[in-house]
Amino acid sequence: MAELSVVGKSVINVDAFEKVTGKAKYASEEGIGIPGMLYGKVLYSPYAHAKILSIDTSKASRIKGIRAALTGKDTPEHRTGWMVDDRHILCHETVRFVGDAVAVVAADSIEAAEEALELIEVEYEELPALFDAEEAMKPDCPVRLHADLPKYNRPLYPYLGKDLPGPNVHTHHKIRKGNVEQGFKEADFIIENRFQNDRIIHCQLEPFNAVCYPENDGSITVWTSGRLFMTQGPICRAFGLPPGKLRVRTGYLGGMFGIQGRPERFAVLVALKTGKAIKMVYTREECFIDGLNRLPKIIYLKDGVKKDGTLVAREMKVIVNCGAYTDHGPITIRNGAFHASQYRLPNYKWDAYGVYTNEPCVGPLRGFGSAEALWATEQQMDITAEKLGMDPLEFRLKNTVDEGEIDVRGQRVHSIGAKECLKKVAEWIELDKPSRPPEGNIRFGKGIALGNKYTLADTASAAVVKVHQDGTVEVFHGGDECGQGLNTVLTQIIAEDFKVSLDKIKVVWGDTARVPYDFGTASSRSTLYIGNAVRLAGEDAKGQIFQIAARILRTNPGNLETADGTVSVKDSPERRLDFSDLFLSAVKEARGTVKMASCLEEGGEIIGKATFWGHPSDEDPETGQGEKLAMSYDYGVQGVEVAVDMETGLVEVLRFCSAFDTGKTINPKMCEAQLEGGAGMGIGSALYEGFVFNNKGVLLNPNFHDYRICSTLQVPSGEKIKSMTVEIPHREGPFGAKGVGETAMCPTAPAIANAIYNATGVRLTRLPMTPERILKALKEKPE
Amino acid sequence: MSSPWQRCSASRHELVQIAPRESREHKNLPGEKMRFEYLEPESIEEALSMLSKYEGRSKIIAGGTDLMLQIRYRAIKPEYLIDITRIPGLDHLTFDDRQGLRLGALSTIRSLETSVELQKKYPIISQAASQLGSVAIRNVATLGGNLCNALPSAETPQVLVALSAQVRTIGPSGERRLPLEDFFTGVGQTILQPNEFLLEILVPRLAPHTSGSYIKHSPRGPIDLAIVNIAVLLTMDPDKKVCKDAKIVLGAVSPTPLRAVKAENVLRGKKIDAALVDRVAQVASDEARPRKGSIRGSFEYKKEMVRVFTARAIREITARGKE
Amino acid sequence: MKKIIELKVNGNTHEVFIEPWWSLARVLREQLGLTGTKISCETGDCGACTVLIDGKAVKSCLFPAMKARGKEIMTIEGISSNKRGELHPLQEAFIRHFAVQCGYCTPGMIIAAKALLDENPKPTEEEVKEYLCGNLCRCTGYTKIIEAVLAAADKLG
Repeated sequence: MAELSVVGKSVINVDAFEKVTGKAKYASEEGIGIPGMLYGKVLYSPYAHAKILSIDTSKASRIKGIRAALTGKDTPEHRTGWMVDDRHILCHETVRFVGDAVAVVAADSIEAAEEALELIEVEYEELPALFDAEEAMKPDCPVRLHADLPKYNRPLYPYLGKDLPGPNVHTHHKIRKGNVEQGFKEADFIIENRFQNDRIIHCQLEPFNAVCYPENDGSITVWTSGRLFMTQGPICRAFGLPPGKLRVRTGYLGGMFGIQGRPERFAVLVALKTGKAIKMVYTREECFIDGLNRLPKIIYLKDGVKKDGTLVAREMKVIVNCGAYTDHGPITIRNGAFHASQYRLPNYKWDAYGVYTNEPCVGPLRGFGSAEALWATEQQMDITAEKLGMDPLEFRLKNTVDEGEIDVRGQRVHSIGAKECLKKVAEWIELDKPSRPPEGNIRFGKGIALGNKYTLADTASAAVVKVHQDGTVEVFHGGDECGQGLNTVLTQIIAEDFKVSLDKIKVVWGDTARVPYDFGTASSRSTLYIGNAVRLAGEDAKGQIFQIAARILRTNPGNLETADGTVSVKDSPERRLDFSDLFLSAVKEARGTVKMASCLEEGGEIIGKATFWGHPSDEDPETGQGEKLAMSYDYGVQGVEVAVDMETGLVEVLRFCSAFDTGKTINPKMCEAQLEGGAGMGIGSALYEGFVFNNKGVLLNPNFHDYRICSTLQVPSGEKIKSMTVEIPHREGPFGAKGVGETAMCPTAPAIANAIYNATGVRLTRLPMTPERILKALKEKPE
Repeated sequence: MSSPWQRCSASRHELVQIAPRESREHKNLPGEKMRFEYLEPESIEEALSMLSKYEGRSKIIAGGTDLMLQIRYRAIKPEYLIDITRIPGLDHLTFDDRQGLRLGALSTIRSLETSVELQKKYPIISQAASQLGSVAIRNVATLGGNLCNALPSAETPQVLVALSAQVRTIGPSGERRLPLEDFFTGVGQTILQPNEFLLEILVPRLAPHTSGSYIKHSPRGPIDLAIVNIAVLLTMDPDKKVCKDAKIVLGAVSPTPLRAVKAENVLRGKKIDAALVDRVAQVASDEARPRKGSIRGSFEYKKEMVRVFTARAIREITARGKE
Repeated sequence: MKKIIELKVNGNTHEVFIEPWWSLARVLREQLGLTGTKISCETGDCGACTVLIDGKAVKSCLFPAMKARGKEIMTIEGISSNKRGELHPLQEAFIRHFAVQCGYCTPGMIIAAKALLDENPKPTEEEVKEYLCGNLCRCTGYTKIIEAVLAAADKLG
């Protein structure tokens, strides 16, 4: 490959100037101070499970300034959803969690909306509620949360709705490989454990918000703090709108980590009913209550291993407390199975169940199902290694798959740097040497974990590249810029392919009316999919450039190359044109105003367009096998050194090391920034974060003082944190690159758990590992 | 909707009784719905007259960092906020060899943290101040506000009770002066009448060989509310071997700052050794009465932390004494 | 009842017509168009709303706008001319050290860091972390933010 000049360099983030000056526009800034704008508030159910006997909005409607007070009867009759259509926009007859939306008011001022909300009278009949997924999934569970479940439409992955063991189970995902019973017979040791993780949430700094404008032609425009096309599709389905009638726009996203944006559906509802523009901003509490949580899983994990350390069989039963509606639950459950792709497991059985309960809904959070599963499996690896008397590093190296092997889902492993990452991290934290000796009540320990994160194969991206007369190259993409640096990466890619300077490149995103379709930023796919689509679109544009230039320069298009806004003949650079020479204004016959024409002589414009999609295979519904279910995997290792205060249970993370394989590191510093960010979120998920409910299903910590994300004091910095990358090119990635955004959080919690065990001899199987839980485990530990 | 006593279930196996909600726990899903008029008196007299005029419908605001939250969560719904920060002469920090320390109610927590003289003469106050939230909060939050909001986990009450502080209040019938220990009457409750406000906090001179320690235990450090916080003040005899006097004040384990009197008595007059420290800590733990079901720490955990940190505070003081 | 008050922001005096209960953060964003200051938690926990009042860092989501009368307020818009090549060393350092990802915490973080460096021109790494512990970031893990602040301190010093 030719030497790269821009890709592979730490190019400064193209958004940074706007962000440090406060000029950057987020959806939060849209619609401020517009006369006539309405402001909306949502009335949520105070009960976890109840029948709505009556709703009276008459008093609310009389408040001065109220323009709408809408309830279930004002919403479409049909249910809607993502994978299972099981939810109305506003509850019709039943509320199913504390936070289920019952009514929406819209008023001239936020104050009037708040007043009106208090005056809506709802009569409820409380019903028994389910909070325990294992209880709820029983075949004889007396409470049925969705009586019509068998009749629900399933637009995506319908096979996940088969073999459901109980009336509240909506998803059952299976993987079968080999014969686990036989495998367990061949094993010398069987290790069985139960793991659990509590609910956590993204805590994007930008609160969910939306602005909706009805347009004169009967269409509507929605600004959202969430994803672009993934907002358009579901809203269109929910309201029965053709996509051409719904334009979605985004600015910069103030964080995403999987899913953002909840209030659009209410804003659209109000806009359709009133014909007026409306702005809805969630309070932080509402973001907690109506946001999607990471999957709370209960995992029963059984491994069979031979004396020599070979894993022979693994059986996993995963019970997911999916909350009141399926929302993004099923896909996240199914995708969580991809985590198993890192080890050689000749006999494998996985059953993952999604269970309705009266808790909030769930969906992807940086790890999209895999992180929650790795919490279990990466601790089990350490437990098993200890049982075997084997070094945890050696045990992992022995069982990690290699390039070309077939993994548990029937896919051929490609571009895997797991072993290199294991060695690098183990070396940096000196895993072979014991941690420091105790100091008073403090015990020190080290731990590592190997993780991975897939990028889905069943998605698509399209891109458009437009080349202007002045040599500017404009890139149109449908992805989401949420801080990961997508626009910068695409700028680098175009700079490399067109050999133009960075200031000649403009990236256009965030408007469904201007950009082509994209599944959006999720699944760590943006660099790979959008990067590829942009490269292909760029090739298409270059093709058009070369066609025109070839005629003018009297050569073959294949003889031409481009750089700095010029086209020249290879090996004869003096035979050269500027891009402006390709346009109509440069043509000999251009007279009068045609001399100003910035279009082409033929064909209009230089617009390259391309699609890159994953060509996924089918997934066998009984065995979960498929040749190409994931486009790529990113593998990574984290190692930590911790200090545990044996008297209080407080844990301090002293040193932190990450090594991840990127395929090709397009921007090293930005990549490092992702890994450091993953450390921050991972440490939070391991030690501090977790929802606390009371027994009525009310969330008790929907705020930033009682739901604790890491501050500067919880994350190692400077010399104490090290982030490394390994490059094993992916044949389908742009320049060999694949995504790393999510993997950065996948091994963190088990690495810390392993380190705590190393320090104290105590193993926590439930996340988060709060000081109180650690102290309790320490006190219960047999001497 | 539901009875004030509720059972909290974190898993099938953890059923805990919880007490009536603290002002920070929302009633239903909270919105803001703040509505008030904003008054800014420029003298104490003006403030008092406003308090009288709007008695029962007004609240004093100083920094507002606690108050605005209470209003946001609708724990209180004042129609008038009376901002006293424009009244001069209430933010002083003065020393007097005879009288000791005088702190204006409007002195900011940040000024207490950074005052070089305070760090030298009453370091335990600066220590406590430095644990309150973050710098941006401390720049605005006032000592008076911290005391009057009277949250069990507040930073300043424990150390000032340990220092035998007194408070001066002003109301329509004039000034009152009383021990700070008697100032608090319950969670968020003080002896202040609705038309009264806090003027000044007076801390007597320290007896010789007096040294203290303030420890706040929380998961993330200063930005978290305390799980427990403890102030210990020891007066040693000149040989620094026997403890002449002890004050142990516990926070976040009872509705008001709790003097662990029994623990103090165990310590008083004794020579401090490891066994005594352990015993004192256990007695302090036994005296603690945390409420059950707080999401910041279970009953058992809080009691245990009182034991751990009382011991650590005493050891910190005695180790310092050896320097 | 709405009142007209004067606020001095970034050296300019403005007249605004506000309800007494509106926070300074809300007034800056909605009345003055200074949307660099962000509202994120409204409980004084995250620091995205941090501004300088008389040179001191303050969480403007908890600060009634009425309180800000007669005080000098500085927001991210006023920390420099905000033109390329003329940025405050902190802004430059945040860019150069990749300390910006989604950017929502960035204005508050830079303002808080400015308050730090104005008070303590040569902070240690530990002092930077302690000072900024009230500014939450979900994206960066803080490492590069701390690096940027230390680099800016070097440049200013």
